[in-house]
Amino acid sequence: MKSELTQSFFKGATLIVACTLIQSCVTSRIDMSFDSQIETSPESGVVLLTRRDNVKTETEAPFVECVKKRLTSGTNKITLKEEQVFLDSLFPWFEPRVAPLTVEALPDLLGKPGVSEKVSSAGVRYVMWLGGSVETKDGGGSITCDASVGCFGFTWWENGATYEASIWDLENLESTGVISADVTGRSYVPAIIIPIPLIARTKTAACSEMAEQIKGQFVG
Amino acid sequence: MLRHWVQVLVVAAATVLIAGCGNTTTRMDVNSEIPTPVINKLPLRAGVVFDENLTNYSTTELQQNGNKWEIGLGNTNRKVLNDIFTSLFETVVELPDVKATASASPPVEFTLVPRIDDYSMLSAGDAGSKFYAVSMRHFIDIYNSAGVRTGTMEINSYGRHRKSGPMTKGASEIDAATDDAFRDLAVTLVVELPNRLNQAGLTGESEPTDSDSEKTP
Repeated sequence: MKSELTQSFFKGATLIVACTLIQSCVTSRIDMSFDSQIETSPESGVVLLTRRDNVKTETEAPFVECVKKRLTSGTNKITLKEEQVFLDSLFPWFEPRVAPLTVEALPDLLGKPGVSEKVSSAGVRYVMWLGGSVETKDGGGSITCDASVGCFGFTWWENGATYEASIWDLENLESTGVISADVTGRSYVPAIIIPIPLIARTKTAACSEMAEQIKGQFVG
Repeated sequence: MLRHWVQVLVVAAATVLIAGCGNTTTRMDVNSEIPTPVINKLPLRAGVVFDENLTNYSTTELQQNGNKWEIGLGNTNRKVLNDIFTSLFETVVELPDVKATASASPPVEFTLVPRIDDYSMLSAGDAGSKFYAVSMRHFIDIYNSAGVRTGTMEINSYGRHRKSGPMTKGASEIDAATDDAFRDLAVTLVVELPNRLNQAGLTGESEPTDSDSEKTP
């Protein structure tokens, strides 16, 4: 009797886990706005800069590293200039306190003494601003644990990630294009004796899709 | 014999446990550097007084877990401010005090006396965030060529650095956050100090008038 109960219990548990695995997914939406493809060369390189003007929405360093890694590897890879070297060589004009927030501020910035010369000597023509972050939107459920029987229950939450990459042309003082990624993922933790975390890989999905779309816009 | 070793081990373990519960005090000297700013030097001769409040500044920061940090900022205060002033002005003359302004050689058009008023550090654990945060408040007293104070500039600077891992003690994060705060201080000085000197009539340029503004397209 006891073994039958245990067997049916595990069947039920397997079914719940299987259903949850199928349901635990990530949905994404990528929006792009580009006039034409971007041609790069060693003299007209690209630097990826992280928006750091707002603490709450600062893009997480691992996400930035993920995007950089994907952009600089695989097919159609892009050569990126080193962010810190660029920031130091143009100090203080791209620091969070004074960095241009819109493309309209570029003429004023590049008109400052020595700035356009430094940009040229850095071999940078395109600045790619990366911003956005992940936030937990909703969640529910609960899990109860007991030392003798283990954990039972179910909890879930939904993460939303919104990232945006704006590419500015420092030579023509214009915006070349914008790519935004809205990714939503629902994570579950069913607990049947032990908790089984089924985490939606929201950031990984956003990083991967965004990087591939950006790479598609560059030729050279 | 075995009993003796067990006793020794128990005493050793107890000692380690007691020591582990104790609070630690860590001393660190910050040595921040800033890049050379991309600016044109102003054709001005500035006097600068680095007093002891600034060059010997040290602060003690207490975390909620009882750990103490003794943070020395004197060297960096002096180095960063000197680097910025020499980047901003054609000539910088270090003076022993403000009284030496009128007799400075070469003569100076104004004297700047920087001082630090506050340094605060918040660990990631205390803030309940992923970041170590640092804030600083500096004042720069501005004196004219006769040694009369014409104004004071207040500068609030901020820096932060992401916690590197669960086992971190925080030294490298505090150091990096303080570097960022000094970088922020430098940005404010480069951007705003020339305007403040202009407003105080110490740059030899007249302030823009309404009629000048009207001419601008």
